[in-house]
Amino acid sequence: MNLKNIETRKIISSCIFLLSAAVGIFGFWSIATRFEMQSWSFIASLLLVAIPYLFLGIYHQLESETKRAFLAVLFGAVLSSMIVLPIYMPEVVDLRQWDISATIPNYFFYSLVLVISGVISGYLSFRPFYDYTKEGIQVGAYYILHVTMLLTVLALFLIVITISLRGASGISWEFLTRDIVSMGEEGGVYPAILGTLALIGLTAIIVLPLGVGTAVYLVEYATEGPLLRVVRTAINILQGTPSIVHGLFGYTFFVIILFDGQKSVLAGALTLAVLTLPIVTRSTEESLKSVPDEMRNASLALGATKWETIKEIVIPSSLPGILTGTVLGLGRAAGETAPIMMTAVYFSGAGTPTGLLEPIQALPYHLLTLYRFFGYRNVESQAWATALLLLIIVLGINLSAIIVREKFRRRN
Amino acid sequence: MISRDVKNQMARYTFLGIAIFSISIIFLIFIFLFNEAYPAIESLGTDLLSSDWGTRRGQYGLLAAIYGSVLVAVGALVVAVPLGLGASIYLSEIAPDRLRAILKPSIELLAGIPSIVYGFVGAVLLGSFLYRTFGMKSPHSFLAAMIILGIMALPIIVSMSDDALKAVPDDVKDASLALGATKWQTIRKVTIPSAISGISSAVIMGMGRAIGETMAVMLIVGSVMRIPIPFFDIFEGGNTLTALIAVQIGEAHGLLMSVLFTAGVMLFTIVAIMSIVSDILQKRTTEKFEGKI
Amino acid sequence: MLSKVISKLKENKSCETKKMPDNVRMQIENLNMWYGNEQALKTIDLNIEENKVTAIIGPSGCGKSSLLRCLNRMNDTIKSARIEGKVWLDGKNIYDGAANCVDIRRKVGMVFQEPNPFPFSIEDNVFYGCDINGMDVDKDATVERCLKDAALWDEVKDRLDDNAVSLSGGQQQRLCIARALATKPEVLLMDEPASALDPIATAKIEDLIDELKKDYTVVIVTHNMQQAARISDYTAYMYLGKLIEFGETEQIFERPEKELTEKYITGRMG
Repeated sequence: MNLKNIETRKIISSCIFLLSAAVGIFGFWSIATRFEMQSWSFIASLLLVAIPYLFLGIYHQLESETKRAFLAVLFGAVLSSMIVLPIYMPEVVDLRQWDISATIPNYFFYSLVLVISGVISGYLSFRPFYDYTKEGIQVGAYYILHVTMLLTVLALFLIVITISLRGASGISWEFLTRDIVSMGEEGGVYPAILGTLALIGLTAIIVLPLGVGTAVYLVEYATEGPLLRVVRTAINILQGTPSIVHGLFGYTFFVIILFDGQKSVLAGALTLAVLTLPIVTRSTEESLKSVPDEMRNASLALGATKWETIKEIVIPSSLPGILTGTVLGLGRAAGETAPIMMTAVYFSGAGTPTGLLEPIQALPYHLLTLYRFFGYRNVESQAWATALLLLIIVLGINLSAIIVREKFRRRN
Repeated sequence: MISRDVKNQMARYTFLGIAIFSISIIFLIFIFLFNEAYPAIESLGTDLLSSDWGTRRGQYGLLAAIYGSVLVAVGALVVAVPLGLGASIYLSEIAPDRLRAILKPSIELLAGIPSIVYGFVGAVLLGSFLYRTFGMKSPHSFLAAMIILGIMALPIIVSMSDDALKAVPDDVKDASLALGATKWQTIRKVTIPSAISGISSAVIMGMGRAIGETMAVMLIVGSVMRIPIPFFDIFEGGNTLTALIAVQIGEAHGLLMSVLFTAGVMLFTIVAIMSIVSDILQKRTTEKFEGKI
Repeated sequence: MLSKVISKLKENKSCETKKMPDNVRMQIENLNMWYGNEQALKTIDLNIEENKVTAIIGPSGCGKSSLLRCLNRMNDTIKSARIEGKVWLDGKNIYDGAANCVDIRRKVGMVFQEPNPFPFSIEDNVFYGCDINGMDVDKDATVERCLKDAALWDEVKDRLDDNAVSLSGGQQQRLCIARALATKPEVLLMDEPASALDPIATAKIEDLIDELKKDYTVVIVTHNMQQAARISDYTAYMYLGKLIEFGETEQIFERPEKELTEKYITGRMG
């Protein structure tokens, strides 16, 4: 085993990799700083961009790959000049002069090009060290895949972390248990928490029998045919329908027609039930289908009726799947704003819900209300805390569902 | 006591009743939407597709909102597809098992972040950041909405493409390796082409989420009912179908209400087509390896 | 200085070499293999002769497939697998640290137990190996040559653009053989290539193997003793990870030297 060989390659490759990553990061940084660069940072970034390409070019030349050497140096020169240009000739890179748009900002595309160039140069850098074989391409491609994974994770976790950092200080016992005072500037979010819980609870009560019952009928009783296909397609479409459309329906049908223009927690729960119905039905169907037919036949052969088989065999063994689907659906309902905005919540004010036909306050809508007061009232810390609380509730619901699912998967 | 047989029959009819009830609700929604939208379509006709919007003047052209919806969704895909595909390939083909066991559920978990939270973060932080950095006219811009919606669509795209890539049987990948392909060549020439229907279905689902998104878009994109000039200027604000409904529904009645329903029907139709196509594509992935094509 | 680094990189790339006996294409020397803590192969020594068919037989779980997958380093794809020992191909050890396992797999083709065509057109399936190895050959000619070699040409010549998964199981397996032939391998490994097929398709594959040995060296794993007796020149009998007996097929089936071998071929075990 000739370690040295592979190790040397790895070191050289990772040097170039780091440099090209630096170019990419520099691109991001240039967006963030609007290119208000000091002379030292200017020289440093120029070297950062130019060196790997120069190095690559020399390497290519030594390998008698004149064409690649030329391209590498040219690419490096272009990139370096892109750093020089905005400093000495800002008018060249300023897109405004070409009348593309009054608002297309300085350097935006330029910075973007820099980021992408960094990634590409990283991709290309690995080739010479693998003798221009397909392994070199693989290392380069893997590098890009790593970058995309990193960015994906970064983007998602950054949102969670930002909210956690900014919201944590606002969450206290008072925040959780007090009424909303002076448009949310003070006090807590107690009514909103209660409202959200009431909405979820009511939604669960409405949707669970409907969704599970429908799924049981579709899987256990209905015979395959064109009618069933139409029903399935309709359920699929309803699942993908934007929640604002559900809100529109809920507002006109439940609020205006059914409850005479009065928003209420019941109308909101009914709307959310319509929203979650396809989710619950589909996931229940999936888990009912995963029960093998042998189990049903065994039960029927023992003299059980169909209903007994469903009650004793089918539903118990598909229960984890049903629960997971229902809980995920409720998690989505808990975070929805659009459907309840017009059906269940009132604009502001305090108070805990007293009856099914009373309007309520809910966390997602409270967050929206607080955002609307940004800049007018001092609500920032309350808003971040509300966002964090909502995040905890929704992700907590989803987490419990995912844990149940993973446990069930492992057991099988 | 009720006999077992009667119970059995009762159960059957109970389930039938529930099923009929739910299914009729579903169809009721469809019929209701179209019914409410009909007056606007009848009285305004093709005016609905003009770019002239002014509620006081009685002009209800939805073109700007339609354009905004499409622009934002396409932009979101530009952000989400390269990242999401790369990440899903990494997850399914390269990631060590332990890392995968953590990352996959976390990404699925983050798919549940409520849209109002995205909207809030996007409007408060991203919008104003871009506004300050680039000296834009206002913190509302298509660009910010595209970025936030792209991030929102990421978990769906990653998780669904990962499923599609994982569905490619190992023995097909082995066949490629045994012919002297590198792992990357196998991914690029066998795994991805074999999973392409599933991946496209993931992308369509991501786009469906982007088009149907309301709260995040409403807070970030603003509510200016006009097409930006030039039309690709993503640094300006605008409006989308969803945001239009959300903003206008409070005070709407009469014809405006019907116009909003028309917007709803448009959204609904777009998403319906998408989900049907996505379903077909997904079925094709599974059928591909059962020799049904 | 840079050129020194490069020349150093280059010289370190040479493999361990050895002079191999005449007529021997591959030589397995003192090969051990583990899956985790479980030893799957125990000190195997075996010579594979050129332009002959070598069959590996034995009861299931005896390690015959593992041995086959050692010959083109396909076991590298299994994370828990660990291999010690040497396998010589053209005088080079394929388990040398500097050996290129992608290159080895091009030289040692493989046909799997289940037909596993790619879900592309028949043509693209056959040409895949040439494509990924960057071979500068004429596509149509290669496809025709390989399909003819695999005795599939007449059945598919009018529908080369059809999806390969639409073929029947036997046709798919012959397509997989054609695909393996496209890169002009020196050795062809076959892992129970007919176990998933019906008798007629099996007979076709067996005839094909007989044809193939004119140009290629074939190693075939099979649990079917009749098949081994019909098509192979040499037979190796394995049991519990050990190579019990190896010799000319006639000798193994008619005058086995080891008791274990006799028990197996007379059907008293396995």
